[in-house]
Parts: sequence; C-alpha cells; structure tokens
Amino acid sequence: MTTLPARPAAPTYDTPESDNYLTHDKGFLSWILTLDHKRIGVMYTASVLLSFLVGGIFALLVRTELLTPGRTFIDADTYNHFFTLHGAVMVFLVIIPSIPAALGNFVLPVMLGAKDVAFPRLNLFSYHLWIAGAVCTVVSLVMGSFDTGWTFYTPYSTTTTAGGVIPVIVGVFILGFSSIFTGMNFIVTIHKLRPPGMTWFRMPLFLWALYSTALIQVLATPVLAITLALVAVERIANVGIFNPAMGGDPVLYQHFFWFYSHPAVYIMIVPAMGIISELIAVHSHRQIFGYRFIAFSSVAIAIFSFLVWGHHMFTSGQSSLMNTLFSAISFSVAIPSAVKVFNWICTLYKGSISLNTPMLYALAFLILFTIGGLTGLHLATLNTDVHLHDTYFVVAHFHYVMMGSALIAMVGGLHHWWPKMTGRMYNEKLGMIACTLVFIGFNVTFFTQFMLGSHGMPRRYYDYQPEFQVYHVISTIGSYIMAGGFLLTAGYLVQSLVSGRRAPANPWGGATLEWECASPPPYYNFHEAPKVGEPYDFSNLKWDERGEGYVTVKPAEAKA
Amino acid sequence: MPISDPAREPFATPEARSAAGLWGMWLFIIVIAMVFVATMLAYLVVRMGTGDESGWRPEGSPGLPRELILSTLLLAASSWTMQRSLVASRANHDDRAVTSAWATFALGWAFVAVQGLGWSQMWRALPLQDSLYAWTFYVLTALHALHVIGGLAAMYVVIMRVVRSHDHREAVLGLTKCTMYWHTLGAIWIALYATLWVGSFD
Repeated sequence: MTTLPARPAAPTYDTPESDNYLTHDKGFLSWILTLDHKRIGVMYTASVLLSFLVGGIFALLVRTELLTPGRTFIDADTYNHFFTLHGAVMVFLVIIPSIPAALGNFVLPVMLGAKDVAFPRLNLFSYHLWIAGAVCTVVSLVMGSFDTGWTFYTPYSTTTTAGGVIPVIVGVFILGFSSIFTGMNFIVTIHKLRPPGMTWFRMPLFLWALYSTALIQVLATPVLAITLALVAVERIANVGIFNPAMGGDPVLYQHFFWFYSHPAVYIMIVPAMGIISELIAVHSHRQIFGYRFIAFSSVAIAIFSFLVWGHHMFTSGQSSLMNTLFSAISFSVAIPSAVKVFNWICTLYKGSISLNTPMLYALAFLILFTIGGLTGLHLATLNTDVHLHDTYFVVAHFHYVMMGSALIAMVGGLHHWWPKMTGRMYNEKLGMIACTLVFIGFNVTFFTQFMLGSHGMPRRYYDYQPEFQVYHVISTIGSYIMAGGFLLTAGYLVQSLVSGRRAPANPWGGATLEWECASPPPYYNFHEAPKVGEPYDFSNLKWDERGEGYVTVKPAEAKA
Repeated sequence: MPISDPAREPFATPEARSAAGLWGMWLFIIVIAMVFVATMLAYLVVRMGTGDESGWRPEGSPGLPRELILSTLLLAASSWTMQRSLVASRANHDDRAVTSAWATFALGWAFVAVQGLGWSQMWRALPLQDSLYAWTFYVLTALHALHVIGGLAAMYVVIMRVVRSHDHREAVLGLTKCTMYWHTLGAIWIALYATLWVGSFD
C-alpha cells in the first residue's frame, strides 16, 4: 500500500450529502406543490418518459398493422386513430417539453449558478398545466379519440365524427401555455439571474440553446393557441374562417398552423443541439471548437424558424413566388446547422474521447442529424418535393430530425445528467448496448422509409401495394429492435435507482457549474455563490481513482 | 398552496426581483400581442380573399353596432384613469392611486357591458352562423372582451393587495403591471375596431 498524498479538502463524494433536494422534504404534496426547479424538472422528466411509453406503444401498433397490406389486426378507422395519437402524444406531450421543460428545468438554474428560475410559482404552474393538458388528452380518448393527424388540418378536423377532437384541442391549447410560461421563465432567468462572472460568453452552450428555444416558445406558441381556439369555435358553431363554404380559407389554417409548428420543430431540435454541444465537449475533454459560432447559430436558427413555414405548403396552391422564397430561405437553415456539425466534429478531433453512453448518443446524433438534415434539402427543393410530398420520405426525414436527433439527444442528456439528478450511476455496459440497439433499430426502421417514400408510398395510408410489403416488414422489425433498446434503457435506469453505485459530484469531468455541486444537488443548489470559470476549460480537472470521479486540482483563481 | 422558502429566493434584492417581474410582464404582453396580430391577420386574409361579388356582408345586414363608439370612449377613459393611478402611486399617494384604480375597474366593466349591448343589437339582426361577417365580429370582439375580463380579475387582486398591505414598492409594481396590460388592451382594441370597421364596407 502506498500512502496517498494529502488533499486540500475532503471531496463531496466522501460524505454523500444526506440533505439534498430529494431528501429535504418528504411526501406526495412536497413534490406536487414544490417550487424547487429540480423537483419540477424530475416530475417533468418522469411524466414525459411515461408519455413516451404511451406514444411508443401507439407507434408499435401502427408499425405492426402495416406488416401486411390491408387488415393485419385492426380496422382502418382504428389505425387512423392510432397514428394520430402517436403523433399528437409524441409531439405535444413528449418532444416539445422533453428538453426545455424536463432537462432544462433541472439543469438551467444550476448551470447558470442560480438558486432557482426567476418565477418558481409560474414554473410549477407550467407543470400543472402540462398535467391538465395530458388529462385533456386522456378525456379525448374516453370521448372517442380523434383521427385528424397531429396537424388538425381543416376542414377535416372541423367535420370529422370522431368525438375527442374538442378535448384534445383544449389539451394542446393548455400545453401551449405551459410551453409559453416555461419560455418566459427561462428568458428572464438568463437575463436577470446570471451570477457575477457569468457573462453571456461564459454561458454553457446548452443555455444559449435554451434561450433561443425560449424566444421561439414565446413568439410562436400564441399563434398556435389562437389558431386552435378558432378551430374549436368553428367545430362547435359549424361556421368559421377556415370553412370555404362561406368564403373562409382552409389554407389559412395551414399557414397559421405551420407558422407555429415549423418554429415548434426548432423548439425540439435547438435544445437538442445544446445538449450535444455539452456532451461532445465534456466527453471528449476538449475545449469546444467555435464557441461563438455555435452560440450564434442557435440564435440564427431561432430567427430562421419564423421565415420558412411555407415549405410545408409547396403543393397547397401557394404562388410560385412564395414557393421560391420559402424554398430559398429553407436552404439557408442548412448554414447554421452545418456550422454546428462542423464545430462538433472539430471538437472531437484530437479530443480524449470517453466512449461511454452519453458520447455514443452524441455520435448517433451526429450521424442521424446529418442524414435528417441533408434529406431536408430534397424536400426544400421545389421540384423534388412535388414528388416526395406526403410520402414516407417526409416521415423518414421528420423522424430522423425529431426522433433520431431531438429525442436521441434527450436520451443522451438524460444519461449525462442522470448521476446529477438521481445521485446514482447506471450500468455503463448495458447503456452502450441499449444505445447500439436503438441506433440500429432506428436506422432499420426509418432508412427503409426513405426508400418507401421515394418509390411513392404515401404516408398515413392503411393499405398499400404488395410491392411495398418487404420495406414495411423491415421497417416494423426495426421498430421492435428500437423498442427493445428503450425497454433495456428503462430497465437499467430503474435498476440504478435501487442498486446503482453512488455518483460522485463530477463523474464525467464537466467544467460547468452543475458539476461543482454534489450529486444529487443540495436543496439550495449552492451553499455559497459559485465561482464562475470558463465552461469548457477542462485543464484543471483530474480523474481521481479513489472516488471514481473528477476533482479540481488547481483553484480556479489561478487563471483569473 | 406551495410554500416558498425564503432561503431559496433566487434574487439577491427585492429590486432585482421587481425588475425581473417587469421583464416577465413585457414578455406576456408580447404573447398577447402575437395572439391579436395573428387574429387580425387571419381576418384580413379572409376578408380580402372574399371578392365583392360573393358578398362579405349579407344583403340588408347592419353595419357595426354604434355601441362600439361608446365602448371605445369608455376604454380610452379607463386607460386615462389607470395612468392617473400609476402616477399617483409613484408619487407616494397610494390612496389616490386606489381611487383611480377603482375608477378604471368600473370603466372596464362598463366597457364589457356596452360590448354586450352591441352584441345583442347585432345578434337580433344577424346571428353567428349567418355569415363570416357576423362570425368574425363576434369571435374577435369576444376574444378581446375575454382578455379585458381577465385583466379586470387581475386588477381586482392587485387593488385589494394595495389596500391591505402597506408595502409601497409592491403597490407600485402591481399597478405598473396593470397599467402595462391595460394600455396594451386599449391599443389592441383600437386596432381591432379599425380593422373590423374597414372590413365592414362592401
């Protein structure tokens, strides 16, 4: 035995904090009425993951039905309900809140060095609104569900006989306000609660991404709210401005819907990009490449998001001038997106990469996002879009970006912050196996759909020509593999709560502030105001065998 | 009710907290503005898409009810009293501020009542289902009236707080937020009325 050199202070992992945010108060009410952003974040995470399970089950049912042409095990009407429910649950209950509301709520104040968000009550109210929105969706299921597609296009949505349209519209309306309030909270928090030393350009990139996202949430979501309110009035009154019988305009609905919903897909992807910036820098232990470019490209994407909605409507009869403009602006989104991808790859180059689960998810993101992004160019091109519009090619593109990128980043981020949230380490080996399964399953499912789409298989159809069956079977098998990966993930994450190794304060070697407080963080986040340093300067962090975590070896003031 | 723990108060000073509150209010006003801008745009798109030959206003239907002129004056007056309330409160005269705020509150309800009167006038001649001319009138004015009623509810809470507590800083902050919201609704009403008025010509 060799003697260990004396260390300046006892690191936190020697004495796991008995008083942390999880143990500070007990009982159901102490959770459901908490004003602590960390608990709200954890509740959001649990709710979002539960919704993900529900949305995932609908996806598997849809994929299973598509195994054979014609009826496999459910009738066409039920199929319409199932794919609609899959879409609506995944978009409104899962992906939109998954990163900002769930992980963002937990991470943002700690990363910023604040004690909480600016308006803790409003934050709790946002979560309660989310619950109310979810309850409305369940009510809709009881009242006969809905078969409109997640886009609620008029005039179908105002005339369908499905009984649950109004409740789900009310639900989405409420969820919209949940999202708006989260956005307002984050904007004010980032402007007003940065501690001394936390300048804009010392902010971790995840916060830049959440800030850009919040801008979109505040500016775009109100338009969805009013649009859906008008649809509801129209459905009840049988008259309305989207009804062409009296001179109304159904295409107006599409404009309004996409004026929100295109920015909405950036509400999903921009924070995902923020997570990837963190994962890649931390797990390759290398200063992020092109910090300012990544930061400003998030803002640029947020601005572009408001100018491209018409690319969903190239075949709607919109004037060719509008089509050309929307096409051109859509192409320019490729610039900030590519800036990010190049910067991430440059960060990896010569980095000291830890090939662990979060890093695997980050690498999966890089590949899937690149495929998703590049196939977007075919859809933004007017003449190819006419062919590809409303085919499985769009479905595949959409899933590569929304699931392969946004959701994969969320799962990667969940693994990255899991030790911080729960104080436990998960099983790394199972994590890597699960990630591989998800990655393979995902590509088998959705790459096949690019082929289906380019061969002309329309989306949403219940029946199809026999020549498409082989692709559908492959795609369905892929979805089962993916489901296996996610079930395995659920299994080892739950297992880690019971018997996982205790997490050190800094298991990955991150330099942002959340890694300076214990795992799980104390009730007050920081006992004393944290010293803000460079977010991606890893030179002071050394791996410590004894605690199996990273410790700071030199005090931060050395480089001030 | 959730209990806030003073030890977890995120702001260093009450002033910083108030400043953040005003930021939040501005963002909320942007949200409200987006709602109405979108609604008016939708109105204009549909209105301009309807050619004169197909007829926006059905034969013999009335123009916009004259009550709207009265309600506009009431809302303008309420904006004036609201501003007076804020000025008084900033000058440390919380009593006068409360009086003016109650006047605003009363004028606000008077506005809602006159809008209702205008509605009933219109409804007798032209129910909701008859035409988009009627539909847009009812839906747009109702949307605005709902925001006025919501504002009045919030205003009641703020006034009662000013009356009961003697925290002068909180009083000014609450009245500032009320004033911001109230002027916004006033400006939106003028824009909305002008839009509906221009659109009501055949």
